[in-house]
Amino acid sequence: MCHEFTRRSFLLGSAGAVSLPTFLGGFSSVAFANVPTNKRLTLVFLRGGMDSLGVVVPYADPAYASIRKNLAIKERDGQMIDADGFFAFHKNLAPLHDYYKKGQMAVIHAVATPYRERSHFDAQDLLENGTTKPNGSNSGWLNRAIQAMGGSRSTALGLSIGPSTQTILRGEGKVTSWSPSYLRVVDEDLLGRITRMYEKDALLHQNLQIAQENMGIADTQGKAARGDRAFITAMEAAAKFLAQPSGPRVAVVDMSGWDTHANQGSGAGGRLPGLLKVLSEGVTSYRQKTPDAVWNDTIIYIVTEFGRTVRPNGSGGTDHGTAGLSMVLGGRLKGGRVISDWPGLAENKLYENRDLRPTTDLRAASKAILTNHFGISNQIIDRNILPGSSGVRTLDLV
Amino acid sequence: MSREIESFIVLNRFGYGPDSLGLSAFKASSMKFLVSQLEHPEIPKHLADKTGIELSHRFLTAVRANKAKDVQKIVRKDMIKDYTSFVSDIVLQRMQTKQPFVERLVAFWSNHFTVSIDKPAILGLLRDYEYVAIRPHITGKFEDLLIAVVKHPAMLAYLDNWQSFGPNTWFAKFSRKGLNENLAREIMELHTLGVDGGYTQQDVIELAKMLTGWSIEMRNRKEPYPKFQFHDKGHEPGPKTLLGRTYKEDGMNEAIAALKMLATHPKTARRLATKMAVHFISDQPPERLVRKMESAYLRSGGNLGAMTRAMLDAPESWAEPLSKVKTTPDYIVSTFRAINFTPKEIHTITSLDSLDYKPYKASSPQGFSDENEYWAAPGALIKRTEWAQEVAMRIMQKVDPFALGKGLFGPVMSAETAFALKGAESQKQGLTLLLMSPEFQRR
Repeated sequence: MCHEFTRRSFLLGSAGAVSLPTFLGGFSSVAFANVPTNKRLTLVFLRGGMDSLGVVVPYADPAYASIRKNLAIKERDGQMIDADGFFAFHKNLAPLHDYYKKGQMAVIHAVATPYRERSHFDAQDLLENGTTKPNGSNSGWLNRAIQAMGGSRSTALGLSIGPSTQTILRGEGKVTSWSPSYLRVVDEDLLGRITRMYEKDALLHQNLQIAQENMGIADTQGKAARGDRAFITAMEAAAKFLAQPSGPRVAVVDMSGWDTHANQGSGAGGRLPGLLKVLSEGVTSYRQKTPDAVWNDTIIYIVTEFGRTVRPNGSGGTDHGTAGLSMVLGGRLKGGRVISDWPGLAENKLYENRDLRPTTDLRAASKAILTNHFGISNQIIDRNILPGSSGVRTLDLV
Repeated sequence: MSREIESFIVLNRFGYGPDSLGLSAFKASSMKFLVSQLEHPEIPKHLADKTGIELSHRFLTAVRANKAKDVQKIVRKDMIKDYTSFVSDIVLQRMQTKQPFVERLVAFWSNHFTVSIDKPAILGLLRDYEYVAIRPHITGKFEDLLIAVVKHPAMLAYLDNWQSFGPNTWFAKFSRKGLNENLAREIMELHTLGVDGGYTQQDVIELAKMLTGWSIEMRNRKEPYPKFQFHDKGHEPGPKTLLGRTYKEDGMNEAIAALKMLATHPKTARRLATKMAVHFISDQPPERLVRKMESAYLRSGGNLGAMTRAMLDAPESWAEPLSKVKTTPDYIVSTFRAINFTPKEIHTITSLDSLDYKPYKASSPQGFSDENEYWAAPGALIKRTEWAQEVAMRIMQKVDPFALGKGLFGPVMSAETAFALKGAESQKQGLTLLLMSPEFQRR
């Protein structure tokens, strides 16, 4: 299989976007002619609703141990790493804690989108469409963002990793997509013939064209990975694509499995700790595949659709909740902080007597990335990208 | 409509496509062919095999007894074997059945009530789940289907209800387990009313309470299967109020009554009619069609056969021969049929795998998408091309791609496709083009 992949990269590496930099060598310090920005963003979507309290643990909250019961991590068990005397990282996030110490990572806690119900699908849709309602828009806010950056129908600034384009990237702005493959390469002649056959079929025609544009770039890991490795492979591919001088600028990678209704685990065993390990490894691999100069222009933005209930449910897990957390990493981040207007875990502080109360709007972080990282004006953000967010104060993050 | 276009629609839209003999081999009357399947669905007895469910039982017992990890691993290996043989059996069944529409309906309802092998015990339960809970009910009352599904260990395990117990019960105190709202929420959001169905968080909790004690047998030495059991001692006492109606304390009957109410709710009728129309007919089904299906459902007290029949009777369902993109497994099955290839298990599994389709492993309880954009995504099209080429390469006998296309597509074939097939530089390329043509990708 490796052999087949080598053939692919050989074949496509010579023809596709990879050779472009040589032609434009004289302009190496400025953005390439067809790519309007050097800044990069990889959004990692943790699907299923991550249990924030098991990840960045408010261990010093007086109500923590009693309300979390069997899911509480005890300080002396060595299962967490202190962040700031109040919060601690789960031990399996140790690799991310290193970035935190360097100031290259921030955590935003008790954060939520405007969504206040508890359906995964509506919650994800709202986060992705960028409005204040599920199905509030047919396009995704990151697609509208790449349009604002100057992406067009011809310049693909968006990159979807996975078998189909995520809602957050859907829209007019051009998006390319990539997912690993097992089979042998198809040649350009065959693809040309298929394309001509699709002339009157708008959907197939457009999607085949998008696919062809992507095939050359991710030269790593053509082999599709299994299970846990799949996320790590996806992160490595995203890093490779985004490292290209004239490649896409905004990537979206999914990781699922966070819907921990049962046997969630807290310290060493269970589902959540396992997921955290994979998440850490994915981020670390991404960083390793990113040249230092690019890392300074990069942000990794990790989001989930909602948090989970504060109290454990009846099955050693947690049910769908409201506020959760988000993590942001990057070479030039104002990090090393857990940003939170902490609502508290006491019974009377909970949202609807069950969930962590949202005190920060997730769009505050999104806006920070859009304005301070990508330089998009507040006016465009409020009008086009995150409509209805003008009252949301931008976080001091980037 | 010409006879051949009608045959194309019957065989593709409501089946798995023609075999290599093409459209002209189909001689039956279209409507009779479909309706007789609805009226007399056959249950393929060779699919009833209890090996998997026995293995799941052994697995669960090993987990419960806290047996060493490698004991669990051995059982798990056998379960995976059973799972792949089930997937292979299903593909063969779809290819060879005389009732392809029935198989399409089984697949549709099985996906509506998705369970996922993400939870290992489900590996062995799938075969039984589809055979016992889904298959017998696809043309009957939806409430029977719903109740059968909710009672099956596969669903109870997948959405965690087997370990949901009333907080105020002896069982909860004893086992330190309590309420889990996962199944209750998805029943209302995904299986019946839909997310805008007008229920609240409190309704979710109330339905969850009604479902407490719906679990599996904890100890039974006589039968080696995990079986449904209602644990009265784990059932939350007291009345419950769902969607404004109060249900008196009545043990297992509470949830039965609630499920029946949900099954015949107008929101459910709307949702099921829409979903079925999107799956079979069009991503944007005409409102007239949905309304006919919805009212057939409501008039018949929630009968799926009646709703399906309304879809067949509606002229809207026959208007456009190429509106839907085939799902990945259906693309594979229809390919095997078109080239008269009988796959061995390894062919089926590697084909599904290389097209990135994981049977019974949808990423969420929502199941796999019904929309074209999902199945014809850019990455998916490339993979289909790669796979089609792989298939075309392996065909040793002499085939004329254009003649085969003419037989499979009849007058539906476009000038572009005809041109591509005639101009192919080799048989291999021609067959790849045939399998990638819009007429073969769509139905």
